[in-house]
Amino acid sequence: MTMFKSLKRSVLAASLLVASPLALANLHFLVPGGPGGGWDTTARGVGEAMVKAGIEDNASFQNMSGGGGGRAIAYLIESGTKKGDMLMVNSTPIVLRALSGKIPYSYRDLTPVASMIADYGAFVVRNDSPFKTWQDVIDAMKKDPGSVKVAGGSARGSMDHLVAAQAVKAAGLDGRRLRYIPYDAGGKAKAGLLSGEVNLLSTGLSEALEVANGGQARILAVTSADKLPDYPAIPTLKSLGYDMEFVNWRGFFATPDLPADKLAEYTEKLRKLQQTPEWEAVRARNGWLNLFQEKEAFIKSLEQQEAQLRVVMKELGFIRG
Amino acid sequence: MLNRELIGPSLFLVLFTLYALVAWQIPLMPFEEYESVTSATLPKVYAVFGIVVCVLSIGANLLKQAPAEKAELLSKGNLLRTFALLVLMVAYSAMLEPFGFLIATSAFLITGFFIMGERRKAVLLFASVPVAVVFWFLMTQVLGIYLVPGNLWS
Amino acid sequence: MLDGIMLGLSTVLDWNNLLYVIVGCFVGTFIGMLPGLGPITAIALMIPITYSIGADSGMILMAGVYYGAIFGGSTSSILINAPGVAGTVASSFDGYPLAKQGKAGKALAIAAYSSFIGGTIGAILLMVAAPLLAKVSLSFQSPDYVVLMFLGLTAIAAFSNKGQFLKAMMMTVFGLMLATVGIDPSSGTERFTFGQADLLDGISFLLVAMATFALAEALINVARPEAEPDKKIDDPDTPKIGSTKLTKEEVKDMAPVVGRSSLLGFIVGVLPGAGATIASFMAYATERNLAPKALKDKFGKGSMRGLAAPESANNAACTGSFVPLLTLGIPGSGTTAIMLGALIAYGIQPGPMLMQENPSVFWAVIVSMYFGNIVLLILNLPLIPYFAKVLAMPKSVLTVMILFFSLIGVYLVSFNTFDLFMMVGFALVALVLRLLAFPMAPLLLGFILGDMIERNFRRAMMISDGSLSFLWDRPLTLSIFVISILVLLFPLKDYIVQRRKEKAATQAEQHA
Repeated sequence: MTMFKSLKRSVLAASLLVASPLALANLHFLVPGGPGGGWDTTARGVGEAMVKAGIEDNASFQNMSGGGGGRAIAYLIESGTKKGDMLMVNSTPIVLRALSGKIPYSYRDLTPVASMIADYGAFVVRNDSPFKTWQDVIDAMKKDPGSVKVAGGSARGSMDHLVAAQAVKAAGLDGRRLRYIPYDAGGKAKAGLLSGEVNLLSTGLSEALEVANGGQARILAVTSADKLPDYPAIPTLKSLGYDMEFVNWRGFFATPDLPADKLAEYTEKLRKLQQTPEWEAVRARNGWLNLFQEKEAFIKSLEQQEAQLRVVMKELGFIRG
Repeated sequence: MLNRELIGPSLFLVLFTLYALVAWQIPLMPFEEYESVTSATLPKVYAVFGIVVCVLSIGANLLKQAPAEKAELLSKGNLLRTFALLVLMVAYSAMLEPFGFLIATSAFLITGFFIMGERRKAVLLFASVPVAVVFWFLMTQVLGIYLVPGNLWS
Repeated sequence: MLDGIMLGLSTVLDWNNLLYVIVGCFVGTFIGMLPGLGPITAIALMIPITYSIGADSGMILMAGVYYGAIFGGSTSSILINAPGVAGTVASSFDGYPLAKQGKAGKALAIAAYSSFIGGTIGAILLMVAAPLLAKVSLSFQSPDYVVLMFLGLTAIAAFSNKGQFLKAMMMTVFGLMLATVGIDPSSGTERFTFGQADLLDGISFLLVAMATFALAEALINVARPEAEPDKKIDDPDTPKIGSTKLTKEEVKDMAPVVGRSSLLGFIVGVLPGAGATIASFMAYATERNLAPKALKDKFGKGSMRGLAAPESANNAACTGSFVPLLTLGIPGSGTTAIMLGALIAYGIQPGPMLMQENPSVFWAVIVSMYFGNIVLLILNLPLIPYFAKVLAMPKSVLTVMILFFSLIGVYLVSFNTFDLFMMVGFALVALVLRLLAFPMAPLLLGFILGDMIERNFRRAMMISDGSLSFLWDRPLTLSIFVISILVLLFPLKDYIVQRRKEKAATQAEQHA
């Protein structure tokens, strides 16, 4: 009898403790990846800046990796508005994986709120490489496509590969002849470049800058539409005469049944955040570039990117039919 | 006479054969169809190698005809307890998200102790609920890791 | 160089920084003991804190956490056979048997000392030869990694005693097969996923390790409780469970092992594509093969050499992985990748320029890392008896706690209950296999290496445009390949010699 009573009491206490966290967090961030990854750093950076700038009282973070981000998306759709204010961070891969079928959802199943930052694709060679300009690379590939081996930090058919394929397509070459060598992560791909295994590295601009600033490599081109304000010396593919641009945006999504006023509220908060010095500190320290696009503009660029990627993926055979 | 040593290799043989069946059906990407080494190559190699090893092992054991070792009979009580623990773990995994971390863990620990023969109420209660609470505290408050509070009531 | 060290020392000996190291070590050890939270999570969670305290203090804190986490991982590996960090799997092979024999304190002490010496030797080599080593980092290409991993696989011959060879092979193949589940990174094809989204990313190492080591061990102790003949608790000569004393002979015996393993571990760690995991396995295998006949058989049953080798190797490898990080800006593992991010966020650009432009930072980082090592030893040695006492818990409580630990450890990584169900499934399979006397270690080895071997192999094939010539194109590749073939044939030689002896003996009997 006494055991049952004490059991009841502890269950009660436990449920009280359990219920309290729900009342606390004002803005809850859902991260489709593990701690320390790109999505995680972005979400925590935004959350931290928001709290510091006083836009939000509290920010909480939930990691939910698996299924290439699909699990978190499913969770977001299912929980709807039940869980309070929840934003999910994501980036270009959501478009990519929806196209390739790796995840059974697409951005259309969610409410896109806004994009915050962007990373561009960059092409890097070793300092002692015979390729002095991007044009040299194209010429070499025209002569013998197999002679240029391109390394990337992700699997075949994902971003680093597709960006490189699109770039050579813009020069009139067949994207399928591109010799893409996948590495586990950006770091290993860099090692592959520096050890001489491969001639060219296709990676994100922030990673490219790391190895270029170290003095061992040169960035031949970047996929932004306009010259980068911080690095005007790096030519854009467009300025070299190739009609290709690519941006890996990172932004936030919310549940599909988000009421309009909530959407406006989130967008307003993010817009305000962009202008605060606290955000600038976070942005600068991570080497991110600002790219704030809100609802309609965001959706439009998502559609454009989807169309752009669909063409490349079909050509390369990553989408059948 | 069923040689005990044959059970393992035979089970593996079945497993590896199933693996081989699936491996030969791995859908290749269109561009892979012309390459010599594809994503199905190594699985096939593993499957073949594995089957060969199993056959060798079965052959060696059949030839050896080892004297029937006294198979240590596992006591029924122990076996039942082990099984109960396995079922408990499955139950815990199923309960964790609906009931929330605290309740599921406390229940798991208490039931676990009970299965293992612990009957002292003090131990049952004080080694379970406080542990769950302390853990929850460290995870959510100190380290900032989010633990589901229970889907049934949120 | 000397002024650099002085500079580093002065930074580190600041009171604040000392405090950070101590805190870091504590936090790291605690986090490392929980299977799921490894150094990566520990450091990732610490990073926001480190931003506010400045670059050098931040690095010192992170170094403390890093080494603490590895030590914590060894602790759970040795005490409850739950290797939460891949680099500590090999430590459980002999560490856990030692703990079962009632020598938990001794085992933990050996781990602490070996780790310390490994880290020290690594730090010295780092200080003396960092720029030279940068060249070594870059000299390995994919073909070299293939044969290196293959060499690791042939070390399986080291794990199998007579008669177990085929069983070990079956487990290895099983491990290799498990590694193929998921999306193939080289081509994007789905393999063995059966339409399950949760399997797309493959099976996590932690899951397999926890299920086959911790869970299976706990369960088999329930199914078949041992009479524990090794634990002579009533014998007054047996040292107490928490004792950390080591006799002079034991230290003398382990000294060369630690030295060799540290060297091996450091060099492996310098390579961006290989890290503490394969370093610890290779050290274990090497020491087993180098041990005199009498000691060889003790490996796997509580050999002190068998514990000292992987422990020194994995710490030396961790220190070695700082070479590509600092001199080239190339992170060799997830943990170093996060550190790289932190360094850049502090405004420090790792690379060849670092030593020249920012020598103070370079040396401060190295000295602080070393300091983390020292503090860890000082802090944890007195705590070891308390850690060891954990094993004194009543078995009913301990077993359930281990089950909880393992389950929640895996959950904390992916927050996916599907993984938990898979774990229980694997535990059941592992339990049956253990009852049938199959060794678990080759399974894990095959699983870990299978992934790396395939990726490097496919890469090497792609780069060589489809020919196997990469195996002998470069002298480095060829030499490692030849060594691994020799290692594979070594036990065969013993076997042949043995059979000849037996044949001669039976013939002698017949003639008698």
